[in-house]
Amino acid sequence: MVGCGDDEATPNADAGTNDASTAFDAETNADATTGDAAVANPDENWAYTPPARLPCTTTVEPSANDYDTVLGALIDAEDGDVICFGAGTFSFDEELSLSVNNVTLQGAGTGTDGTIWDFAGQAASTGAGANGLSVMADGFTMREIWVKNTPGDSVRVSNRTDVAFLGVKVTWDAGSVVTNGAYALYPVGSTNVLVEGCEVVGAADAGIYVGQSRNIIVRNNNVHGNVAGLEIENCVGADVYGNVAWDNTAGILVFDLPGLPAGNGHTTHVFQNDMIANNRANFARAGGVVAFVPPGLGFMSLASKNTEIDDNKLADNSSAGAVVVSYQTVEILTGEAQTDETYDPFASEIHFHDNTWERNGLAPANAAIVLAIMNSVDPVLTSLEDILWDGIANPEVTGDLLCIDESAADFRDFDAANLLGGSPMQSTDLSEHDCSFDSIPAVELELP
Amino acid sequence: MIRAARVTAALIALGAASCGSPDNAPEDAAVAFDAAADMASPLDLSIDASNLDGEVPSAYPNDLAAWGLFEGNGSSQEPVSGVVPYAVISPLFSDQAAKHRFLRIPAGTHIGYSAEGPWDFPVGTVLVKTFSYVRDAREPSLGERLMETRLLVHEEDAWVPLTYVWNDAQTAATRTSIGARIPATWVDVEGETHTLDYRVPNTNQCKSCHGGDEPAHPLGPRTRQLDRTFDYESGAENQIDHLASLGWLENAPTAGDERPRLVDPLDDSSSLDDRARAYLDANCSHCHREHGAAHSSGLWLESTQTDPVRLGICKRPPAAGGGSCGLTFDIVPGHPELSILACRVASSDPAVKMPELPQQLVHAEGLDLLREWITSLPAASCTP
Repeated sequence: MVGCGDDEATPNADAGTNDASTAFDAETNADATTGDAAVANPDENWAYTPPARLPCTTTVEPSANDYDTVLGALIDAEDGDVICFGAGTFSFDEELSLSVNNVTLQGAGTGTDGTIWDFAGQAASTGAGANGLSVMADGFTMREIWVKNTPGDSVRVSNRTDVAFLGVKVTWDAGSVVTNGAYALYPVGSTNVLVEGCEVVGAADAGIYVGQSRNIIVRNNNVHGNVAGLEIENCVGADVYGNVAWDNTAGILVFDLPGLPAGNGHTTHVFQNDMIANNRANFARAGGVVAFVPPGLGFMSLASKNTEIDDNKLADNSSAGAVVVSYQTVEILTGEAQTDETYDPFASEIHFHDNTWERNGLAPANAAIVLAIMNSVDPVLTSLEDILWDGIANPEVTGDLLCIDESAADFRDFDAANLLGGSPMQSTDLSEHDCSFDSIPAVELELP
Repeated sequence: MIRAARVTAALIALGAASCGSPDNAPEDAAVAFDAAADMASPLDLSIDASNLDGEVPSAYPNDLAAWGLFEGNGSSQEPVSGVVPYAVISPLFSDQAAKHRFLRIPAGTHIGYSAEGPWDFPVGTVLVKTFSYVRDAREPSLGERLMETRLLVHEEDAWVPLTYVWNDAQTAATRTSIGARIPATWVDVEGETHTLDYRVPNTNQCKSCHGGDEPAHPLGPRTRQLDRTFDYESGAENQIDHLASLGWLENAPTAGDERPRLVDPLDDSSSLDDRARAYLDANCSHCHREHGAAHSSGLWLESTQTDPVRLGICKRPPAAGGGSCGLTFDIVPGHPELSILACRVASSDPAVKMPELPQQLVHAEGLDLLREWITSLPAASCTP
């Protein structure tokens, strides 16, 4: 068995086999994380039932010549086609691409008896392209295909309308290592995006990464063993719910970064997710913002605007359940300044309510910002709170910035502006955050 | 070996019956079967033929010769009358391949000239680019090995990219849509032998560079790339003036009209800034522009771009992943060693290297130029 998908119920049963599960078995896992005990799958019953299979326009089976047959099928496809892929392993040594609108790629499932696209050969091949599959088409659907071992990003859809990933799995045989691809499921600059029932394990940046897009639903996915399990970046209008994010460096991230063509994002609703034991050592390559994320975070907002976080379960995240910071904190930590004058670097209208918080912040990670917070208090802290805020407020906003309506969450404002070299005025007083914002209306997404 | 051979053979075998439009390609079937005979194993069809039957995408000829662009079989690259050769000022580096470029428009039609914007080519225009390796730079008489000829054909509603791969015998070029790898060997002026698994791009790769978010369109034939002298059979002449004298240009510029032009990036007599910007324009901006495939990077490198952030100065990449090289900013003025841009141009790792497609070799002269340019940029503090 390979320890993913339907077999998740027994992820450790095959310790020692040389397959994708190896890195997530008990022993390896303990080595790869910050030293905590092995992480148990918090949702052993996770499963996804895809919508009814579509009739196939054409079917491609594995062969000795997979790149040519599959790329040929993608190039020869016509608008509206459903290209089916038979069971077995397809081996690719170059990037696949699709430029025909309204095409569905339908695999035979993501179990070991399903459809596997293995891109291991791409790594040794120069001029092989940066992605596993690059999609330059509207109305794209990919379902029930297991993508493995892409040296770069796995499936990238750039600047398109109507994008759906249904029950796709992405893994790397090497486990969670820096040489893996950065982003697994990677819709960017797109409008109307649905990612559901997907499992991503081992992305060296973000497992599910939706960037600079609008009108998004990300639901019922299972992301683990990644740096960021699931990230919404500079997007407008995203519903993120029913996901299980566990054993990542950080579970669910809502980021707003400077210098991007889409400009400031806003309005993300994160609800009914499980963010559990996201304590994995950060294995992202230095350089990207995600490389600065300390291990042990369930949820993180970086300069996000209008973000509602409710009815989630956040448990066993060793540094904190949730962290809310402005971009200034990144600048303070890195000593670097952003130069985008149109960028709003402040987190604002952040609303936590009705979440379940259990055992967060009990063994904070050995990471710069975490240590700085703990060491800035006398006596030095040995644990942190459920919710951390950097206390950097947009001076132009007079109303509430951060509302916390929780029955069982503790809190720390760690005063990032004075954290390094100053005298931070830290506070654990929740009374200033006893407020609420209007609930974010549901994203309405109708894909063709 | 030509990796596309088997599928191409299948396409040809099926296409011979179903694809040739009599008007376009009267000799299509015969030529196609000749080409198929060249293939190692045309009957070894590794894909189910029923998948292809009826799906041969168009009626374009399978043999380049059917386009009637060249004298003879085209191996000399000598154009027939009515097909005009041209060159660009700042070429895209393509793994050291030489290029032959040609332009044909239907008789009686005209190109709408524009100084700044794209030229308005008439329907029926065919742009032609052949990639080749000079066999031995010390012995021009040995000639060159033609690799592929790419066409951009202006149909009513779109520019259609077509690719033809030259056979080993250099007697014919056969159409492929899925690309190919062909071993290439050449000897440089120093006498050093180079080998490369040359890549012919697939149709989607054509569209990726030539379109991005937009429909495919020409990249090279613009005023800023064409405003240079070409050594025509009739003598040396400015290319734009030549096209005007042929009567091909509508709104042709008159003497003294302002014409934006790039500089030759490898000509030291121009300013370093102009050279680097011309290099970035030709090698990067087909993707790195507002409507290009790399739009979302926010790094836009057209020669007309003036915003320092868009040019990458102290700009963090949004989603470079491993492509960041462990560095923080696209360009740190004065510090090529800290600049992601220089690192990626210097890389041959598929997840890191730039441009993404389809080059495999690092362009040493281009890299040196970019490093020198970054070194020369006025200091800008990327730190608070």
